[in-house]
Formats: sequence, structure tokens, C-alpha cells
Amino acid sequence: MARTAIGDTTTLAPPRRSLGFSSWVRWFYGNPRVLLSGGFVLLLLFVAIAAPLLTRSDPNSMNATHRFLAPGSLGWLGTDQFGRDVYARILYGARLSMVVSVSAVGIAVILGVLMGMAAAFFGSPVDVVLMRIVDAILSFPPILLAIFVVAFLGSSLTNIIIVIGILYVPQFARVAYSSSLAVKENDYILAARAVGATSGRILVRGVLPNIMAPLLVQMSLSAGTAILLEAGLSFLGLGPPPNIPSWGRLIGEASRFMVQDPWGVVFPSVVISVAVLAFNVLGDALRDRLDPRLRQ
Amino acid sequence: MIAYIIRRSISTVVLLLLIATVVFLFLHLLPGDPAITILGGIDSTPDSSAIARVHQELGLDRPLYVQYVDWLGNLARFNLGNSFTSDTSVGAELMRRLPRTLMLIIPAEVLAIVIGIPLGMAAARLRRTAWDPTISALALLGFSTPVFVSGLLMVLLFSLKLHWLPSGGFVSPADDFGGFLRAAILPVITLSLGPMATTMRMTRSSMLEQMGLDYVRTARSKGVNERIVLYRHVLRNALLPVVTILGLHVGFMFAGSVLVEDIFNWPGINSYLLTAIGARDYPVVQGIVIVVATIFILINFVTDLSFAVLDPRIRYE
Repeated sequence: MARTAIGDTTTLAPPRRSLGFSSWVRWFYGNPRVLLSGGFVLLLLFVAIAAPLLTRSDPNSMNATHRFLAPGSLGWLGTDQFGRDVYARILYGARLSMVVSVSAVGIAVILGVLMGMAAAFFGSPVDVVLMRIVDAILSFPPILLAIFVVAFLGSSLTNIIIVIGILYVPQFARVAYSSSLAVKENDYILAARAVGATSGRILVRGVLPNIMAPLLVQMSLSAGTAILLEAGLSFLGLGPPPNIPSWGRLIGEASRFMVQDPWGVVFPSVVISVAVLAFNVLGDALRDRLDPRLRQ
Repeated sequence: MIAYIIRRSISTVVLLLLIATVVFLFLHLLPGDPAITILGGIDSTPDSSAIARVHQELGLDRPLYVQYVDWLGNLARFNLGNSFTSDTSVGAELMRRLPRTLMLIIPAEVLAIVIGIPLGMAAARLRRTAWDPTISALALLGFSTPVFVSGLLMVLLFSLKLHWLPSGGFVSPADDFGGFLRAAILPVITLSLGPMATTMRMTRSSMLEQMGLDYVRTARSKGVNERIVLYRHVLRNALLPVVTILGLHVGFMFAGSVLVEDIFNWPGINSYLLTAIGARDYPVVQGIVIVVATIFILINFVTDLSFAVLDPRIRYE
């Protein structure tokens, strides 16, 4: 009886700062940079889901008589070298970017957190081996590894997501490892262990909620770089197949016609930069809010 | 210190051996046959006797472990083999192309440091003014903008609209130094923007962290000139984390140069890599990965050592 009472999650969790739902809402609206960046991220997610409702044109339908139309004449942002609607292609490009970045970061978080917490909990030699691997991968530029893998395994959408997901595992493993190391020294973990909580329970109920803050920050920053990575691959022609509109491919293809049609480069360039900027600003804002060391 | 260097050297060699093995296995166990590429492209279907002949010429018919030992032996003699597609020496071609990539990376890194560190210091010193948010916002923009976006927009402005600089191509500095400089300006600036932004942010936050510490208050309260406090006390301590990030830049620079070489038609090692991957030219890909990995590992080694030199508290355990 006593055991369940003490092992209860309310005692497992440390005293929280007031980060309830209403305080998040106040933070969101009370903070212009959060409102703008978070708002743009939400907008991107909305566009990704609702792309077909926002434009009637098919992003892949070609029309030889409508090549390089100026913005505003047909379709808001004009047409490209095949007469395709640039506005529609950018909207559907948001869909690809979001799918890749959300799924890749999802894979990376799950695997990374498992690795990082395992390394922190089981100690030497598990942590030495795991963290050495992590350091080795981290020291190599992801785009080179991605080019390497994609060029040999093919660049289907699934492959791109898996490759980016695996390449991002080390970032999360690192964050989860260092925060778990700090968390596991706390008295409430010792208390949970003393009353006989299993390792799994301690990890899931005791450690995980307390390393969420740095993970959340890393997720926002990684989502931004995942967009960049996919766009970089697509720019080089190594991204998902051509029938899936992608911002990187849009820019790469338009760059060959920059003299006739500079807008074809400018529009997607602005969109991708703002999207990545939004994720970075949001990540910074989350860090300022969640990292107690910086809250002064 | 010497024991530390020796230990680090051994682990460096082990790491290189590991990378060589992974690269070898990766290329040989994956689908895709270079013989088909040599005989007429990825989509062709040459007959099996022709394929067998090419395999024999290239030594691909031998058992895998023989090829592996051969590869390591050649590597130890700095022999990277010949390209499958052009039959030229990979090492010689890399020696021709690596300097061109370094001609982008090194000036870009210098630019990133020379502009990034003072900007970061300025932002930290002007914390309470409008300068700090302005500089910080620029830095955020700098590393959020993809390399290919900033590169193309600069081409659009400075080459196509203003006709000030060439939009791409490489001029050997030995032939025409002025032409080389003009060709290199845009790619170097493009490559430096991201690292410049991270250097600036790192310097700023590191300076701010140090400025809040007790020793700074002590120095100020005993009447030390603010200039000396900042430059002699704070900066020295604040630069430690900045040095590590400079090591990380090397990875960033190589990643960025893949795209920059593509945009500006710069014939460095990355354009060589992209062509070789398309043609399944094993020796070229292997050679480039080994060379780039070696550069990384050596830079990390040097970064660790310089860290130890800059901070006497670090023990060479």
C-alpha cells in the first residue's frame, strides 16, 4: 500500500514551474517573436494539410503556351519553364517539407532518446560506445552522408525520410544523454528506486518528462535544418522524385532560367528562408523559456 | 601532454581504419555494378561476357577480402587507385581539385572569424542598446538562409543585374590572379555567411555568460579599466567555446561547398564526388570520402589540442 502511494507519479515528478496550458497561451500571445514564428510554423502545417483547398491548379500540369508568365497574370506567382503554376508548386512544396521534417525528426527523437537514456542509465561501457558512435556521426556533415546514401539506395520519399531521420539521431541522443545524466542524480529518482520502481518506469515517468524541455528546443531547431537538408538534396537533383514538388527542386530548376525569369528563384527562396527562420526563432524562444539557466 | 597526444593519435588511426572499412563495405555490398556504367550507362544491358571481362580488368572478380587487403595496402602507400571511368589516378585528380575547394573554404573561414567574433563582441557589449537585437537578428537570418538561396540571390544581383562579378567558373590564380579573385568573391561570401552567423552567436552568448561571473565583478571593483576587463579577462575565457565551434565549422564548410561548387561551377572535390557517385566510380568516391574524413579527424584532433592549450584546467586524462 505504502509503496503505491510513494511510487505515485505525483511524487516521482519534481516540483514544476508553472508551465501549465494557460501560461503557454499567454506566452504565445504576449511575445511578438513567438507569435510570428509560431504562427508561421502553424501556417506551414495548415498549408501542408490543406494545399489542395488553397489552389485549384495541379502543381504538375504543364502548359507550353503559358511558359514564364509574370506573377499575377495567371496564378499569383506566375509560371515556370513548363508553364506550371509556381504558387501551387510552392504550396505543395510546403507539404513535402513538412512531411519530411516532421517524420524525420520523429524518427530521430524516438531513436535518439532511447539511445541517449540507455547510455546515461547503463553507464560504462554502453555510454562510451554509443557516444563515440554519436560523436563520429556528428563530426561528419549530414549532407555528404545523405548524398552518399541516397545516390546508392535511390531517393524515394521514404529513403529521404529515413536517411535524414537516422542522420539526426545523434543530435537527440546527445541532448537526451546529457540531460538524463543530470536528472538521474536527483533525489526523487533515488526515492523511486528505493521503493522498487522498475528501470522502465523510472525512465518513462521520472526521467522523460524532465528532459522534454531541451528535447523540444532541439526538435524545433532540427525541423528547420531538416527542411534545409531535404531542399539541398532536391536542389542537387538528389531529392524525392520530380512528381513531388519540392522547394529545393523548384529553386534548382529555376536557377537555370534565372536570366529570363528571376522571380522563379526569388519566390521559393523567400519562402524557404522564412520557414527555416521561423523554426529557428521558435527554437530560440523555447530555449529562453524552458532553460532555467537563461531565465533571469 | 605527450601521453595524451600519443593516445589521441592511436585512436585517430583506429578511427581512420574504421572509416576505410565502412567505406569499402558500403560501396561493395550495395546494389549497382560499375561495369554496367562503364559499358554504356546505368540503363544499358550489356551481355554477361563483357561484364565479366570488365570485372576482371578492374579486379572486381577477386574475393572481397583480397580486394579489401589490396585497398588497405594501397591506402597505406597513399595510392587511391585509378578512376573506373577515365582511368586517371584518383590521387592526382584529388591533388588538383582539393586546393580549389580549400581556396573557397579557408578564405570563407577567415572571413567568418574576422567578422563574426567582433560582431559577437559588439552585440555583447551593446547588450542594452538597439544594436544587440539588430546584430542578433542578422545572424539568425544568416544561418537560416540556405546556401543555395544566398548564392543564387547574390548571382542574381551582382552578376545578372549589376554585371560586377562573374556568375560562376574557376580561373586558376597562377594564370590570372585578378580573374581568380573576381571569380572567388561570390562563392567565398556565400560559404562564409552561415559560419559567420554561428561564430557571432557563440561569441555573444559566451561573452555574456562570462560577464556575469564573479571574477569580472572583482576586476571591475578593483578599478581595472573596462577595456582590459573585456579584452584581457572576458574575451580570453569567452573564446574557449568559440574555438570548438570553429572545429565544427569544417564540417559545415564541406557541406556548404557541395552546394556552392554546384551553383558557381567550381571544379573542386565536391563536383568530382557528385559525378563519381552518378557513375558508380568506386575508387573516386572511396578516395574522396577517405580524404575528407582524414581532414575532419585531423582538424578535430587539432581543435582538442588547442582547447587543452587555451585552458590549462583541462587535464589530459
